[in-house]
Amino acid sequence: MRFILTACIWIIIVGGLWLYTQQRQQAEVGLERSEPQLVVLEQQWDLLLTPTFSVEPDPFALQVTDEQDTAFEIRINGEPVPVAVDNLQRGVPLRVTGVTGLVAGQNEIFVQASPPLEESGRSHGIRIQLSRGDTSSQLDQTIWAGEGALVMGTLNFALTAQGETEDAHEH
Amino acid sequence: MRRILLAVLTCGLLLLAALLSEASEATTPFKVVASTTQIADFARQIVGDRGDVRSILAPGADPHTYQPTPADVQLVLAADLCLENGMHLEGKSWMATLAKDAGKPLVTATDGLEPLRITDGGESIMDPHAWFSPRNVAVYVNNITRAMMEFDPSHSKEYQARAKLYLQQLRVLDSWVREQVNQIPPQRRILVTTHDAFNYFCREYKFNPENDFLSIAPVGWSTGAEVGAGITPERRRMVVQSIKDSGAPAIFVETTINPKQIREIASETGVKIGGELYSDSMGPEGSAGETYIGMMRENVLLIVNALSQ
Repeated sequence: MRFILTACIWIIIVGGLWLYTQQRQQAEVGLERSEPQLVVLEQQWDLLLTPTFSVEPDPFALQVTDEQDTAFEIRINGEPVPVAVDNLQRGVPLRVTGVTGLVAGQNEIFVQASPPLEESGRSHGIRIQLSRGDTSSQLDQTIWAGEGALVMGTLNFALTAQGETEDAHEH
Repeated sequence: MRRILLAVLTCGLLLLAALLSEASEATTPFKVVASTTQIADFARQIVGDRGDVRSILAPGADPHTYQPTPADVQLVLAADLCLENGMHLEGKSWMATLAKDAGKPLVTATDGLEPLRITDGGESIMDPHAWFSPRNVAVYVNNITRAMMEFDPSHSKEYQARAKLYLQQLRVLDSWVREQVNQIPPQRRILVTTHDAFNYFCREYKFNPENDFLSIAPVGWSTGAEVGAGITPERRRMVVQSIKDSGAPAIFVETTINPKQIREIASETGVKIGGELYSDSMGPEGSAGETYIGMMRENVLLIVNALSQ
């Protein structure tokens, strides 16, 4: 009798704890997460990149996989834009055509480039111009970096459904 | 009634013990043992609280002549992963021997690094003091990060994130050193130390142009018995002559080496001792040089202060 009583009490304690943890897990699973609906603009865009330096592989880059590019990186709304890094030279504008991935609403261009280490006594920058076909630049901003730093920054801007800019500012 | 209560209490305690045991298994850090204080510091920056990182060498100990103790053997036996500098920094490969005898995986933090070769007595030797260039430390960090990703793949992103932060800190350190060193007029940029540990530093930041941007020191690249190591009368003569010819404003002792030789040379040449540099080891806990960045910062401040006046 005592043994049965002990076993019952034990089952109640463990069972109660198990029920409580199950309930918590189900509560987390039951949470609904909604994704924002994005309208991707169908127009083709051109990017014009003009650096004050010739990019070099970054000796301080994280290189733990073979895929990581260390000299230059540009992303539009998180998606990488392929750029022929060898063609990126000091003072020479590089045009990247057929850029896609821009949406109606808030957009972000992220740039990271590595100036030569031997020029760490100078500030460097990269001018970014975004245009739609033959129209004038929708965006024209320069990202600057202090002496010795990576040239790195994001440009945040909003586009209408027709592909016109609402506002542009750098972070 | 008392027996029932006792039985319930016993069951409860057993349950609590089981729960605590499961929790502790999930949070027990793994053990990483590095040969030097510098490599241990790099590993800590990457591993965070996931691992318990220890260094075999204590601050101020000499890696070239170190003899492992039974306590070191125990430390390695309890380790999950071992790290060494390599390039014969650890005299007679004592770290590799410890790891091999204990059957533990060993990572050489300098793998893939472009070494500086120094010639001594006709022999071409790899200089192992690569950490004196922050650019090389990036190689150490990448190697250690890769090793951690293989050892503990479930936390790969975390290790990469920490490594990225530390690599940016190294970049800032490199820029800062260049800016500081620029305060020393090129003709006064003469760095004389106790042993040949600063070749990478001299090459990176353009010290000792008359010596092919290599360090000037009475003791060779190692304080041990390896080829090209130790002090010879010819080397001593060369150092004394270099100091006299260059008009070096100051020379420097090191924390890991007996300063007797360099003090004698200072007395002979009439130059002052510029200070004590961290070389083969970082400083003790609580000191300004207890981390790699702190060590480099303090070294550079001493050098700039002594040579720019």
